Formats: sequence, C-alpha cells, structure tokens
Amino acid sequence: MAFDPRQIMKAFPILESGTGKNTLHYLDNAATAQVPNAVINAMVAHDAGRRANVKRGIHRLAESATAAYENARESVARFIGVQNPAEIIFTSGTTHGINLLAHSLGNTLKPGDEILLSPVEHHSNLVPWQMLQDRFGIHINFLPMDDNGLIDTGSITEYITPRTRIVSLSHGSNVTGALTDTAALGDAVHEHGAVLILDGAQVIPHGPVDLPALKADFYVFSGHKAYGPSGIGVLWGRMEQLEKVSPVFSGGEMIGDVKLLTSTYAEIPHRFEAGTPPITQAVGLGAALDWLHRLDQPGLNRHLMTLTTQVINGLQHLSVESNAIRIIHPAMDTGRLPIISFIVRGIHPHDVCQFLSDRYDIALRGGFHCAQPLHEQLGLPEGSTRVSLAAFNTQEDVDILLEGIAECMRILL
Amino acid sequence: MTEDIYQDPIIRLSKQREHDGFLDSPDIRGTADNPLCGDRVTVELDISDGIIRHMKYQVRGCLLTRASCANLAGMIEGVDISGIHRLRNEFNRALSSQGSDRHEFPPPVAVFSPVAPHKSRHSCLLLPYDAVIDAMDAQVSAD
Repeated sequence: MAFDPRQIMKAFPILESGTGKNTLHYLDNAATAQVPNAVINAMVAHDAGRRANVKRGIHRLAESATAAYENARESVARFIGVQNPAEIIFTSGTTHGINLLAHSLGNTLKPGDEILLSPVEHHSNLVPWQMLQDRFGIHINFLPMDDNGLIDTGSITEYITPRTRIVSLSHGSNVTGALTDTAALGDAVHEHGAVLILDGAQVIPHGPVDLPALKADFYVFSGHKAYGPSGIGVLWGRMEQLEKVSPVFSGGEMIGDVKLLTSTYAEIPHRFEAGTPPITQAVGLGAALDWLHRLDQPGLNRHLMTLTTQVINGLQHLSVESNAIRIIHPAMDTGRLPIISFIVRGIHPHDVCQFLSDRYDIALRGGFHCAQPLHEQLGLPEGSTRVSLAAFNTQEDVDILLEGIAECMRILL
Repeated sequence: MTEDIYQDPIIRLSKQREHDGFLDSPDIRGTADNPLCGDRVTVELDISDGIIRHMKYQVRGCLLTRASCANLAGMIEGVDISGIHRLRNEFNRALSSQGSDRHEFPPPVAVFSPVAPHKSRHSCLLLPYDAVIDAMDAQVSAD
C-alpha cells in the first residue's frame, strides 16, 4: 500500500484529540518517538493474557510469555537482516548496550591500548569509554569531523594504529542527521584486529537495516526511538565476537550450573540477560519493528526526505534577509536522517522550544542533545534546536513549525 | 498548552543592558552554572560592610536567565548575604508552590509568575541568585 502519512497518523492515539483534530505537532522523535496502537495493543495483550516470567517457568503462561519474548527476538533479527536470533541481546537501551560492551571489552584492555571515537558521539558513546581511561590506562583518539559535523571516516587509516582495540562510532548523528559513511570502516578496523561498534539509535527508527553489510561487530539501538516502549533496547553482536565477551552482569537467568563458589553460564544470548528481562517491553519492541517493517519503505523514505527538505528550505528562507539562522548540516546530497538542528542567532534554543510549545503545541528539542563536545567544536556553546521527524509527521507539521519560528524571531529578536 | 511565558514585561527585562557587563574593580565575583543546559551567570559585586552596593553580570543563557539577571541587578542594592538567601527562598517558594499552599510572588519578581507552571525553567530564573550567593559565600569564607 502506498505510503500515506494521514493514515499513519490514525495509528497513533496521542495524535488524535477528543475533537478528532490534532493539535500536537510532535517533532522530537529523535529523543522519543510516539507509539502506534499496534505496540500499545501488543503490550496490553501480553500483560492481560500472558504475563509471567520467562525461560524457566513450567506452566502455560510461562511458556506463552517465553514464546512471545523469543518471537520478539526473531522480529528484531528480521528487521536488521540477521539470520541467527541468538545474536540479539535485549538491553534496557543504547546506553546499556554500550556500557555492557565497555565493561566487558574493557576487561580485555591493557595499558596503552587505544579506542577510536569521533567528536560527533552522543554522551552514551563517549562517557563509558572515558571511564575506562582511569581504570585501564588506555587512550582515546578521535576521527576528525568537518565544519558541518560530518565524521571523516575515510581518514581512518591515518588514525587507527596497532594499539587500537575498539572503534565505536555513531551510525547516524542525533544532532546533524548525517549518516556515517561506513564503507571504509569494517575492513580497516578488522585488519588491525580491532572491533567495530556502531550506535544505530537514530538509524533503526527509519527502516530495516542490513547489518551484515555494514561489517560491524556490534550494533546497539533503543526501542523508544523506534516506535517502541522505553526500557528496552538491543545489542547485536556477531556470534564469534559474542563468544569472546564475558558477561558483566550476573545472577539469575544467565547461568548454567551454580555451585557455592563457581558457576557456568547459559548459552548466548541468555548469558548476557541477567535477571528478569523487560519482557513486556521486548514484546512491544517486536511489535514496533514488525509495524515499521510492514510500511512502504521507499514511500516512507521519500516522505521523510521531502519533509526534511521542506524544513531546511523553509529555515533558509526565513534567514535570507537576516542571516539569523544557521543550520548545522543542511546538505541533502549525502545520506542523511530526517533530523535537522539549527540555531537562531540571538535566541536561546530553550526559548525557541518553549515559545513553540506554548503557542503552537510543537514539541522540539533544545540544548546539547547529549552531544556537548560536538556543539562546542561547532562553536555553539548554547546548543541547538532540533527538529526530528517520524512517519506520522505531515506537511502541516512543517508549515506550522516554520510559521512558529517566524513569529518567534519576530517577537524575541 | 500552558500559559505563555514570553509576555512583554519579561521580554523587555531580557533586553535591558543597564547592568550587563563588568565593574571597574569589583570586590567579589561569583559564578553559577546550570549543568542541564550549559547556562552560566557570572556576577561582579561592589560591597561595603557586607552590603551589596552595585552589581554587574555576564550571562550565557536563555531569555529567562537574562531577564532574571536584569531584575535582580535592579533590586539588589542594600542587600546582605542573609538578604540574598531570603530573596532566593521567597522566589523559589512562589515558583514551586501550588494549589492551596500557593505562595504569593514578592512584588519585585511578580513579573515572572507565568513561569511557575514550567518547572524545568525555574532554575533559569534562580541562576543569578546562585551566582550572587556563590560570590557572597566566597567572601565569607575568605573573611
């Protein structure tokens, strides 16, 4: 069926007010996307009819809950083009996934080893590695970025060294919207015996990904940005890499045989899922990815890129005379996500967001977006205002956004 | 949608520049940061006998922080350290109180009453007070 955002909107109860007329213009999807009925219904059905602990219960509900949990794992595997669902580890989100890797891979590091990141990274792909510096005496190096905040992955051979053990990069920026060019990464990283981690938190919400083609060793993302619930995320790892990784969280559900002083661990992925997992949330994530997977993908992509172009063109038009607006990464001719960050010179991003929320019920994000080093390197000490689009956004959302920004500039400048 | 905080009196305050800048030879200086948004206020104070005589400020922050800086600078003359704590507490109590426990805004800061429903923005208004307290506390420690 051809992509129709009006039909998509009807699937999201938060966008339907009591009058049947939507007043909310939700453009903060890179922080948290809204959830469709398919997800809400799946989670309600699970808790109303299958609620039980998973993996070890010997009763009807437990078996049903376990099947639902494992079905969700299979939904994730299908979405990211992975043949073996055992390579899917459920986490609480991207931050959890990267921390799990930082702690487990960190235990294998030696003083003088190096980790390669970029200045574009979200704090969740920066701070966990910083914490390893003091613990293990390792060094962090950074790939360069250009004036628009694009990572220069083509220069990786200049920055990777025989001591590099881990390369961890954003697959798509939550600030610039730029997709990272991964073509040169995998081979260069593996030639040096290092592992490649990609943070896909902003990429997964926009359609299925062919993970094997990326040549990454690990990939992480969150449910709440991909039309799913919060408190659930995914760490994918190549099986041969997961087999080398020791679990960092321990307790029930992740063990094989337990004695008073020693234990063996369960098979992968369960050894990385200690304790009762977020079962209902996993079911919700599976439903979200199945819902997203069923959409007309070329139509969805065209729709999002059309709206992105309209936002960028509209902002540039508002700035023609005053030069008041700076868009961080305005280019449309390279791979990008429907995320647009900008500043209005003379108006703090929080004031832009507050003004548009108060007067137009527009939801935006203002500040550093958990990427303070990126903003400071771009000369933006007050952060930026971010528009992030999703399948349910419409031309009307963009029109009202631009009208609101024009009024904001008229009144606050 | 909640009450619009961008009302003319607040906007006018934010554009005041009378106390924006540096003192020639300040007696004390203090800074307050809002780690949530990166806003920073630095104040410079002339004091004598523990009483603030004059204030200038530099601000990197939002419209509310700039308006609150201008507002505080215009009323701070004659205030001592206990006075600045009292002003902050009264302001914070008025911003935070709700329903039957609602506290009236002291007249000098009543202009900011539309901000009360926006809890995430209270710290923007209180940042200049924290900078003055930082300066005064440093002086007390030095004494």
